[in-house]
Amino acid sequence: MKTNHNMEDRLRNLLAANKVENRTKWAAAWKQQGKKVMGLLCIYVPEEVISAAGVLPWRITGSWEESTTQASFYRPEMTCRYCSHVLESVLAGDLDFLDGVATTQVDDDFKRLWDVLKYINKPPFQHIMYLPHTISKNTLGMWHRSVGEFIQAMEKFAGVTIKDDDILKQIEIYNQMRDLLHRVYQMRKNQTPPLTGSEVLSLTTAARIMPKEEFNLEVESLLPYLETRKPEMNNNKPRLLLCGEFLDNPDYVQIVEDAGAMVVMDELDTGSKYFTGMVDSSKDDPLGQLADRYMNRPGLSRMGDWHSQANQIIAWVKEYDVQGVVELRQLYSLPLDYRSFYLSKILEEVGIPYLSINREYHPSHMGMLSTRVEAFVEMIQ
Amino acid sequence: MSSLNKPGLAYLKNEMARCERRIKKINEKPDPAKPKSNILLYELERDLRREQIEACEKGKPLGITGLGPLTRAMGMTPWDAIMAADRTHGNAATEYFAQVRKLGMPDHTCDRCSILVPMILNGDFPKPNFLFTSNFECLPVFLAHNLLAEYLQIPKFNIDRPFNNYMGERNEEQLQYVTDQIKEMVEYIETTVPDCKYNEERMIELLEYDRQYLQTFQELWKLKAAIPCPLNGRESFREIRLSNMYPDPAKAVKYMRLYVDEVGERVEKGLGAAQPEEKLRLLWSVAGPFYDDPFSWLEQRGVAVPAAEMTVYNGWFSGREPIWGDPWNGRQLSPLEEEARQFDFVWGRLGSDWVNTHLHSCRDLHLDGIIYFLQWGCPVSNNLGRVVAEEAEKQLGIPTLLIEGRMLESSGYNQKDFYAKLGDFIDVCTAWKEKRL
Repeated sequence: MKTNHNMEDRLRNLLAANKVENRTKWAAAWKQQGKKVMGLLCIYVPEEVISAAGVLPWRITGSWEESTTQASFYRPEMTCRYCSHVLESVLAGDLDFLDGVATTQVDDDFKRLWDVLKYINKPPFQHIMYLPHTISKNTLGMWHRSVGEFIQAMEKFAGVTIKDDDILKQIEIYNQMRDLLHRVYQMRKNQTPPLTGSEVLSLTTAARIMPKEEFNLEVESLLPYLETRKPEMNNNKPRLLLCGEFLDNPDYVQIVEDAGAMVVMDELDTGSKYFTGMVDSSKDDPLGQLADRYMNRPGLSRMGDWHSQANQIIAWVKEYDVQGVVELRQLYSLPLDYRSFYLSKILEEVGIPYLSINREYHPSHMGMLSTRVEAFVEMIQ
Repeated sequence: MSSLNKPGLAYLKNEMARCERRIKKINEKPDPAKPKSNILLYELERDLRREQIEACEKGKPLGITGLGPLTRAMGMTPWDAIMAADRTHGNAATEYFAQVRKLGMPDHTCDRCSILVPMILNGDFPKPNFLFTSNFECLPVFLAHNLLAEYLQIPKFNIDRPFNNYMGERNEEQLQYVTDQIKEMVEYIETTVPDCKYNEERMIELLEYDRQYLQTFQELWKLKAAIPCPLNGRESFREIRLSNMYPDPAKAVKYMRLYVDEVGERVEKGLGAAQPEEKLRLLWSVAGPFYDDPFSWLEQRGVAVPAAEMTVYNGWFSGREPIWGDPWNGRQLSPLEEEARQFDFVWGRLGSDWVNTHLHSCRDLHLDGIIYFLQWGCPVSNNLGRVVAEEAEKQLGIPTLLIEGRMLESSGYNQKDFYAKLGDFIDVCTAWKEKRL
């Protein structure tokens, strides 16, 4: 019993990693060792390269405060809220510990956020990778080149030489993280999942800011406990899949669960899309395999393959025994806005109930969201 | 079913009738204040609509493959829903927006890209047989086209281009990268869209027309620098079609030649659009309220608008960006390489180019300020307005007005407020100009 208490405490500590008060802890410790920290905005930047350079990849969570007063100087209200809240954090000095920032031009908002960061020269190093938006032999070739350029940039930034073996070692570590998170997700198929949806989001966001070895050790030691963990949950609640992008605040998932549902799977870039898909390390071309993995896993809605994305959602609905799909679209983030129109048609055709609603980036209008989700949950019950 | 009721033809028939009315009016009672060449422009527009109607009625392919002449060289009639959406402002736009909201789509995205979707779904504009998408376009255009393609199962092909200012390079490898994708697209169209076959001779012919057409725009750019500015703001603001869009590109070249000659005559006579005399010259950037005419209002207060800043145009017009037929690293490009080179709007690139094109235009045309329209749902321009403003002040000592608005949806438009802001900005520009001089 005492052991379980200990494990529960460890779990709670891990799940609290991305809370505002804890978020910078690992980065600060890393810097104390005289090493650098690289802020990340987008899931297409191959983190293994950063780790291979001895730099800590640290996914930037924007300010969760309502106000974006400083950012609004550069970014009007009606633009991607995640990007605005990130800029707010940068301008407020909350991210002054970052030595650099890396992203891709995945969409216009990210591209322009990078432009502004470059313009104000904060953090002091900025790199933007070319990212193709379709997969073909041709585009993959250029993506490989882009990853190669990123390696060169990281070598210069960190003052090191990155060898194939360094990349291979990191691939192993990152694949282990992916495998561990995959095993946690497999448990979500249980009638009573060991973690709630909001806890799972806390876990996947923790993975983005901690040194991977430390994260892996912690999750590995917690897995046996998770297999026995039974949170107080009503098994008769409808099982939902949650869609969204740049959603990193578990309060939003909590709203859905408080409305009387279990979130048992997600299609979030901060969740399943982050870790789905292993790097094939069996071949002789670690750089190529690494690059391929980042393009071949389920993509953001800015990628135009909505048909495949819809099919992935449908497959997960079956796999996780899901009764409905709830999408929390971040306000003014256009790709999901457009995709939702398509998704509603496809999901209706296959008889999957679907609710798509706008949300802010920071916690806001929770009562209104809660009412809409409650109505949806009631409908599918 | 009558042809008028055939899905997709109502808009085209209305536009054709509008052009006919204008042609008739010009023939019967020409307005001496307007360019004589306007009649050719209306004929060109009418002929395009006629051709599109015929394509719909006879089942010929309609589509779009990019900016250059490849569409026609593939045997398709150009499909221009985005520009058609631009013409549906006022009450028609408000109705479309009501539908957009009802469909559950956001109405905070770019107006033209919101309206586009119900226009096609309602059958007010024809559904294309092929669509291309690309990362060189702005995000809302990509999304609107992608949505139509996925929703209506229209064959599509995406072309990815690297930033041409990425790592400061414009090299053979990147050109080859885009060219190879275009070749794949040609193959895809030939196997997917009936009656489409790449015709290189036609391509070469159309490229030459586009080159001549853009060369006249380069002459026009020089004329725009004249003080007073001979063009009125509405002419500057007009989004152009390249000659390859029209069924008779030779006529388009002829039209531009006549138009530029007329502008040249105005310059020789010292005639300007601003009245009673030109006091200020401004750049209008991004978009504007298409349902209103702030340009005439500005001109009545002595303010000329010699140029608008949109996409790639000013790069071509000013000669800073290569036009069709210009050499590439000391050699001539093949027709498909030429098409690849032009897959490149300035706002598809990183921000420095978007900032610089404003500064270049202001320098070339001796401008005193920038009106930067913050169009709802345009992240590529909205998120760089402040940087443009800061750099214009720092490098040129001129002010920028960042003014929020919508280009087509007019229900929330407050003309009094909008003009008051323009009026205040005139005062600021005048004060700064005096300080500079």
